[in-house]
Amino acid sequence: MRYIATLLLFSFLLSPAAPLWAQNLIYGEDALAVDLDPAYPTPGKVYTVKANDYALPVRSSSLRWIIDGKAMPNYDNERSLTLTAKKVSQKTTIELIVDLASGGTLRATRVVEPVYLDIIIEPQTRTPAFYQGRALPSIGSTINATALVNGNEKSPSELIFTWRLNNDTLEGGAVRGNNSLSFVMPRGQSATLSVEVRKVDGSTLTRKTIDLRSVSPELSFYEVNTLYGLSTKAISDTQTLLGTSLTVLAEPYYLDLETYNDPDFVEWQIDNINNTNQSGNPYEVTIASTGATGNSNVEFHVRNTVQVLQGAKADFRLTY
Amino acid sequence: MKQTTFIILGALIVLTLIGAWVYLMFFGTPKDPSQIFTDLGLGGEEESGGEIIPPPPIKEDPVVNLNRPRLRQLTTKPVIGFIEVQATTSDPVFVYYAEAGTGHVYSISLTSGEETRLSNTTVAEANLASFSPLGDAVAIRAKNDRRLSSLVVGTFSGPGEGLDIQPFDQTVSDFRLMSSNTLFYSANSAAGLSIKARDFAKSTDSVLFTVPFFEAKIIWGTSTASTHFVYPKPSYLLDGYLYKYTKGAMGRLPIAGFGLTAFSGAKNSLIYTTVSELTPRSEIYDLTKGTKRELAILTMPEKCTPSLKQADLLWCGYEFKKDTIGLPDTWYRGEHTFKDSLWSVDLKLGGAELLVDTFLASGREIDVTALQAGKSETALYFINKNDNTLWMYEL
Repeated sequence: MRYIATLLLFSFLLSPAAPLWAQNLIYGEDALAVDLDPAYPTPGKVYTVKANDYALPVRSSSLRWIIDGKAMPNYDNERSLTLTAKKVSQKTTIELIVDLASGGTLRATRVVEPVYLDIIIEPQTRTPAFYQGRALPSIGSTINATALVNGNEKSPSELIFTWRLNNDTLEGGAVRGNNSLSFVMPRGQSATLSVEVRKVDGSTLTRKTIDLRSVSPELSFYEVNTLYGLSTKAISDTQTLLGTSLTVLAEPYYLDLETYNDPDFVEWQIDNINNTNQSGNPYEVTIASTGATGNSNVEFHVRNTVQVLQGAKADFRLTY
Repeated sequence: MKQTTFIILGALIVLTLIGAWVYLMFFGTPKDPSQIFTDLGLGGEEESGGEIIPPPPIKEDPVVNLNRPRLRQLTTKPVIGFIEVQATTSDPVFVYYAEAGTGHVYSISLTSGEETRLSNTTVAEANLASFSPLGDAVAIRAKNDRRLSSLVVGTFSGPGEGLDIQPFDQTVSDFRLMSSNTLFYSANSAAGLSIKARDFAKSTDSVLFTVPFFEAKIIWGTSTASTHFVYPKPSYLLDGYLYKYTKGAMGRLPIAGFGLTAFSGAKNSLIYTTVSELTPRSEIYDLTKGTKRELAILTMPEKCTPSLKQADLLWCGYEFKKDTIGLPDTWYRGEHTFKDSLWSVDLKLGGAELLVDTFLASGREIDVTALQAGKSETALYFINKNDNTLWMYEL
């Protein structure tokens, strides 16, 4: 047995890998690295590859690049090169070989696996049914986020997700299969949400950071026609009362759904006088014509009295 | 007669002729065709009573039918869905439409202009309708306070027999009637938005695919077996991504960006718009080659429709605007309006050509939405978002 071990050790020391192993042992694994910018390229995107040998304590005499096993003499002694990422999950192996002035070589290898990492943001704020766009986050509102890797081609259960909001780790840390979560939009004009995706072997597959801008809830007014239903054209600054009455719906865009469904404070005022809302819908008011001519100011106000930024107030001029 | 007398008379005649010639030279030129050439009145005065025979009329076929302009308004009522219907190419063309609020269905003969009510069954607070391509059925969405809503589906029993309307037993968030037998619809499930097909003949549902989020826009394929496309509902402040579903499997396309909106072009292509640094930009993506090309105008799914007969042709409603901040959100909210013209877009070259300036042609501000071409592609139909009335433009 002792003879076999000695023979194996002797064979290894004579093999071509031995000097490289020895150099890496001397200078450390981090002495030479291949850096990418962006760090996790998406399919088809151009990215920059950089030689990172700043931690190398000795001078290098030359640099060589090998891409997917092919030597790239055109890039000899270049400290950076530009490549285009392949299609989804098609890997590119980049090898950097550094010839040391003192003799010997060092190698660093990086495998690029382009993946799409999408973060779908679904704020749980109010928009009306006819609205074809997506709701936006407002301070204090609940937001659902879903991470999709390659359009869900990679099953989330095979991946480990770590979510961070403004550098606070969510969900207590990395959780396998946890590709979606809810959080409350923090104070401030924007928040930074990031997700890091690791394979089950612990290696990082990809990472993404997005800036989420918060908006203030905004009110729009719409006329409700008894016969034809809700108009989808918002009332501008002025609305004319034609006929005997006018029914108006106030839509508080981007108000948190909890506040919308159960508002602490909701009020219609006509010329600064509270209007007793007769309809069952607190967001709707019917104004009857008195036969007089003139104009009035119609104002609506909705607010959460605990989270006071969850609220909106607006008015329009009614002429009759 | 004496010779002297004869010479004097001759000289007088010559002088008279010279005088007449001088007069005609300086005063006798007619000022306009109504003056008679032989009017020798002083100062060119007109002589009354002369009869002018008008030239015989030349009979020509009018180039443009002035009574029926190419761009015209078809309804005064608000409309929530419509379809052009023509049984055979030799039959008259009709437009069926559903009225907002009531869900009543009407037909308009494009030949006579006559309007007929096909259904007087009221669908309370009807707000969206989808007709089958043949016009033999209609699905109408009723009142909804949330994003899920009740639906009724009606089939036309026969000429003059009205609609046989049945309530749909699922609440839906989006839908499209593919035929009188098949309805594509989306409904919320625990795993996300479930996209299903209802076969009315067999009374069965089949799940086509499930989107792992809820706020999705669907670009419907033409059949259950075809590829469908999905993207999150657009907002200029949120990223959107485009996905395709083929046989239930989800894949990601290399299209993403803020405010992403997309729709199918003809011939295996997608047309999309994204917002970068507050500037929107539209491109066509070739699904076969994987190439992209910029378009001359900005497109929106609601304002454009591809030609199904000419592979590289797209029609769009479009108005150039410098201030595009907040789009498409503000347009969907009904706060931002457009004064659109109709354009034809060459998808091969990316250029656009003006078909009609709708404001010049109609004197009305028209904000085009739900643009569709008739099956024969002799006319475009659309709803004016300002008042939801139905319009057409003869190509």
